[in-house]
Amino acid sequence: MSGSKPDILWSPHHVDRYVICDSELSLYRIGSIGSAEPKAGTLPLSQETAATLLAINSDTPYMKCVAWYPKHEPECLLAVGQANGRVVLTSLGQSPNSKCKELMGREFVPKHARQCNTLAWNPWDSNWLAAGLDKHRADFSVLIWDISSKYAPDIAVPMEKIRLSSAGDTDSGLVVTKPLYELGQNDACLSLCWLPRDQKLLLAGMHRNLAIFDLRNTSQKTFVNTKAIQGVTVDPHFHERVASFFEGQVAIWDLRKFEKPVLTLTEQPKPLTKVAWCPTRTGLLATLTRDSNVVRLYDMQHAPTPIGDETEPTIIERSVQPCSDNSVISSFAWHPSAQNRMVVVSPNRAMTDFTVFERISLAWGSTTSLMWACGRHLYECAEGEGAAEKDRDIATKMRQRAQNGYGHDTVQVWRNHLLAGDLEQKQQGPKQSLIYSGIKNIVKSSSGTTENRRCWRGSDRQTDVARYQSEERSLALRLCGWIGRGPEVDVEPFLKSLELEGEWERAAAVALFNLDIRRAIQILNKGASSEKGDLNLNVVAMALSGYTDEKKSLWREMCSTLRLQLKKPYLCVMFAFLTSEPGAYDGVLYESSVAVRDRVAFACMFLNDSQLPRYIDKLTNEMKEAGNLEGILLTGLTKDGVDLMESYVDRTGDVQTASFCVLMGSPGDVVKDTRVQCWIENYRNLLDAWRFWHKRAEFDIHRSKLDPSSKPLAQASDHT
Amino acid sequence: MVSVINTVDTSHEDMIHDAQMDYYGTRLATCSSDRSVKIFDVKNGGQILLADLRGHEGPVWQVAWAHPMYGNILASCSYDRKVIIWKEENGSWDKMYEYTGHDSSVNSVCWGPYDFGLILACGSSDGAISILTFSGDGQWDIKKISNAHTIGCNAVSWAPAVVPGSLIDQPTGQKPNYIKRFVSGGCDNLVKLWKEEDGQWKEDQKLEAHSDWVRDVGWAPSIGLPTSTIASCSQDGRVFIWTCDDPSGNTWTAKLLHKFQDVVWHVSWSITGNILAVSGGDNKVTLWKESLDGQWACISDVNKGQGAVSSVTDGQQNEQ
Repeated sequence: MSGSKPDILWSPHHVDRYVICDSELSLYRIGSIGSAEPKAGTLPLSQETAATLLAINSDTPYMKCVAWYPKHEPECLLAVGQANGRVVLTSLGQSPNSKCKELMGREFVPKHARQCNTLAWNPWDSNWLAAGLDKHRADFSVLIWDISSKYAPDIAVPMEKIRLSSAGDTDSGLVVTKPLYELGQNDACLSLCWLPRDQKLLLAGMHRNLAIFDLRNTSQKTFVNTKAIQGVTVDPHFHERVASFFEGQVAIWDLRKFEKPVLTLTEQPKPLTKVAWCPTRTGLLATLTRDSNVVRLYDMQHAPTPIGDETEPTIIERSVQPCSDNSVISSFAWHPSAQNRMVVVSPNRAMTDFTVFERISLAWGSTTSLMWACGRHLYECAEGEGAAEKDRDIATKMRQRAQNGYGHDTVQVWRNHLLAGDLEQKQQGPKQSLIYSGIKNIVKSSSGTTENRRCWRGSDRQTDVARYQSEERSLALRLCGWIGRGPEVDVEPFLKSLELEGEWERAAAVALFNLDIRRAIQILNKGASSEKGDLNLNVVAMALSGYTDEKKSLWREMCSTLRLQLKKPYLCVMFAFLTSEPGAYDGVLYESSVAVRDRVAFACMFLNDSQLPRYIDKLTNEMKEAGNLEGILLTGLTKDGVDLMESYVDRTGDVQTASFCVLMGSPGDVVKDTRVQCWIENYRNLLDAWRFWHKRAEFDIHRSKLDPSSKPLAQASDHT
Repeated sequence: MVSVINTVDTSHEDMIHDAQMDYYGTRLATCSSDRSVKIFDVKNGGQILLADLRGHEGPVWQVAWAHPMYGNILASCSYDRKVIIWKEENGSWDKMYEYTGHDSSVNSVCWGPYDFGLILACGSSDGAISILTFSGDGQWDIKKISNAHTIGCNAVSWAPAVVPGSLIDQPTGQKPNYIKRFVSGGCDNLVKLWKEEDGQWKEDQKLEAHSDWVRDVGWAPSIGLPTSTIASCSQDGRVFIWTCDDPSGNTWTAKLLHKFQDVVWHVSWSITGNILAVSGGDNKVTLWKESLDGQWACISDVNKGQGAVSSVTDGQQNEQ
C-alpha cells in the first residue's frame, strides 16, 4: 500500500466481506445482484455481483500496511501499520458491545520511529502480531507484539514477558511499548510471513536476505542471501514452497533446500507490486506489476511432486485482464474460498469481481453428450429435447431414427421420409433393371416418341402445345409418381392424393400440365374453401379461367408480368406454362422450388427428344453437385447415384440414409462400391457405439438379403 | 441448442483435468490433480462411483478408454512420468501395465483404432512420443519417437483406420492392410503427422501455422469418405482445421476456424465428426459446424448463465 493506491483484503472468515484501504478503510459486502433491488450505494462488480459499502474508518492516518485478524472472533479486527512505525488496532462495522472493544485503539510503539512495512498475524497464536520495520541502527526491525498483553492471558505466555510488555502502558492503558520478541537488529524488514510448519517460525524478507527466525531460540536464524526479499508468501497447499520477489522477478523457494530459489519466473518489464498464491487451487500464483492492466498467472501445478529436482517443471504462463474496460489494476485479492475468484481494485477505487477460468477439458460421448470439466466441477451437456428437428445434429437424428426402426421394414417408412420420398417406386415396375438405372438412362434409351397436339380437356380448342409420348417417358412419369401402373396415362389418382394432402397448388399445376384447366380451377376452388383455405386461390382460379392463347392479349401480358410476383412456386409455374412459347419452358424447368420429380415429369411430357436428355443431364449434374437426394430419381442407384450420395454424405454425414438408400434397391454392383462399403461400416459402428445390437443385427440381416455377398464380418465378442 | 443437463459430483479434491466417456457412453472416467483416477457408472443419468484408482504420484492429466472388444481397459498419464494401463477383471480394477519410459510429465494418451489391436500413443514433456502395442502374451512392445517436439509434446490423436483401396479386394479372413497414422501437437508450435512404415514411425508431415504452444489436436472421425480432417488449437488463441483430400496424404490445407481472445485448451470432435467442440480460457465451450459452402460457423456457445461456471462457488453447485 504505497501512497494512497488502494489495496484490498478479504475477510478471512466472512466470505462476502472485504476491505479497501487507501487513506481510510472501507468495508464492503459483496452479494449477487439478483437477490436484492439495486440500492443507492451499491456498486456493480460484475454481471452477477455488486458491493455495498458497510462502514468507513478514517481513524488511522499514515497507513502503510493492514492485516486482518485471523480468527473468527472478534470479527473485523484490523491491525494497521503506520508511517511512524506504530501499529494500531482498529475495527470496522463493529457492534458497540463487541468482544474486542477493549482492544480498539490499542497501539504498539517501537522505540525509534520509522516506517512499518508489513504486518503478519500468527495463525495459531492469534495474539501474536509481527511487524516489519525500516532499518534503524540502534533498534530491531522485526517486532512481535502480544496484543493480549493487557488482557486475559489465556495462552501460555511466560508471566515475566507479560509483565515486561505491559510495563509501558501504565499511563494510557492503551500504548504498548515492549514487544514480545525483537529480531533483526540494524537491519530492515520488508515482508513477513509465519510458516505453517511451526507456530514459532517466522519468515522475513530482510534488507539483503530471506531469514527464518525461530522464536524458541532467537539467537539463531537460517538465512539465504538474495535480493528477492519482497512479498514473502507461503503456498497454502505446499507449506515448503514460498514465493518472494524483487523488481520484476519472482523467486520460488523450497524451504527444504533453502540455498537458492528452485526456480525464478520470467522477468517482467515493470516492478512487481503483489504476488499471491491462489487459496483454492494448487500451484497457481498471481502476480501484478505497476501500472498494469493484466494479472499474470503462473500455473505450477506439477512442481511439488516427490520426484526430486531433476525434472524441469513446466510452468504455464497466462495473462488475464480482469477489467472489461482494460483499466489499470492497483491491487487484487483472491477470495478465500470461492474457486479462482478475485476482486481487483483500480487506482480510482473501481472494483471488479473476476474469476480465473481453468483449463476446460472436453470430450464427446457416443450419444452426442459433451463432458466438460472445469476446476473441480464436471458438467454434462447435451442437445436439448426442445431443439428443433432441423437444428439437431445428424448423429442425434440418426440415433433417433435408428431407435424408431428407420429404414428397416416397410416402404411406408420411406414414404414418410422427406429425403427418400421417391424411392418406393423403385421397388416395382416391369423394367426392373431400367428402373434402377434412373430416369437419366431411361430417357436416353427412349425411342419411338410420338408427338401429338391435344385439345384442352373439355374444350374443342386446339392447343399449340406439343406433347410427347413413349414407353420410356411413361415409365419416367410413373417414377415421378404422376401416373400409376398400366398403359393409361391417368393423373387423376395422383391429383386426388395431392388434394387429400392439401397440396392444392401442386395438384392444380399437375392438372394444368395435363391440359385440364377445368380440373385445375376446380382444385383451386376446393383449396380456397377448404379448412384454413387460402382465399387467394379463388383469385388465381379466376385468372386461370380467363386463359387465352391469343399472343397479344392483355391477359397474357398481365400474367407474364404478374406471375413473377406470385410467391407460391406452383402457381408461378402454372402461369409460366400458359404464357410460354411452345417448347420454351425454362420458367417451369428451372424453378428450383418445384419438386424435381414434378419438373422431370413435366419435361418428359413437353420436351422433345433432343431437349429432354440435355435438360435431364443438366439437372442431374446440379443434383449431384448439391448432394440433393431428390436427384436419385434421375441417377438411379448407379455410379452416378453413388456420386450424388457421396456429396450428400459429405454435406450431412448422414451415412444412415445413404446406407439404406443403397441397400433398399441395389442391384448388387453398386453395393460393392468402396464408398458404399465405407458408409455401411460406419453406420454399423455407430449402431455398436449406441449399443443398438438388435438394430445392427436387423441391419445386417437386411443387408445380406439384398446383398448376399455381404456376410457380416466375424464379430469380436463384446465385453459389456 | 446445447445446454448443461447434468452436473456430475466427482468429489475430486483438486482440479479435474480430463473426463472421458467410454465407447457406449455408460461409464465415465475422470482424473485430477489429486492424483486419482475415478470411474463412474453414468447409465440412465445416475452416477455411481465404481472405482477410485490410485497409483499415480502426481497430477493425472488424461485418461483414455480402449475399444470394448478388448475388455474394459483404461490408460492414464501423469506428471509423475508414468503411463498406467488399468483393466477391469471380475468387477475389480487393477494395473495391467505401468510404463515408465518417459523422462518427464506424460501429457497425453490416446488409443488407436481397434482395427490396429491394442495400441497406445503417449506424448510427453520430454519431447518424445511412445507407442505401446500389446503383443497378446501380456507383453507390450514399445516404440519411441525421440525429439518429436522440442520442449514437449502436449497432445496426440490417432487417425481413423482407413483402408487403402477397396474392402472387397482384401482376401477374406485376412486383416486389411491399414496405414497407422496419428497427429501430435507440441511446445514447438508445430502440428506433426506420424506414419508407420515397415514397422518404424516416421514424421509424415509438419504443419506450421500456430505462433505459440499447440495445446490440443484432434483427428476427426471419418464417416463417409476418406477425407482427413484435423483440428488443432493453441495458446495463441487460434483454432485451425486442416484438411487433406489427396489420397497420398501429402497436401494439407489450413483454415482458421476462429481466433479467440485467450488460450484455447481443447478441441473435441463429435462421434460423426460433424461438430467440433472448442474450450477456451474465456470459460466458454463453443460448438462449430461446417456449412455447405465449407465455412465454419459457431452453432452454440455454452457459458456462464447455462453452465454457470463463472458464478459457481463452493456453496452453489446444483444448478441445472
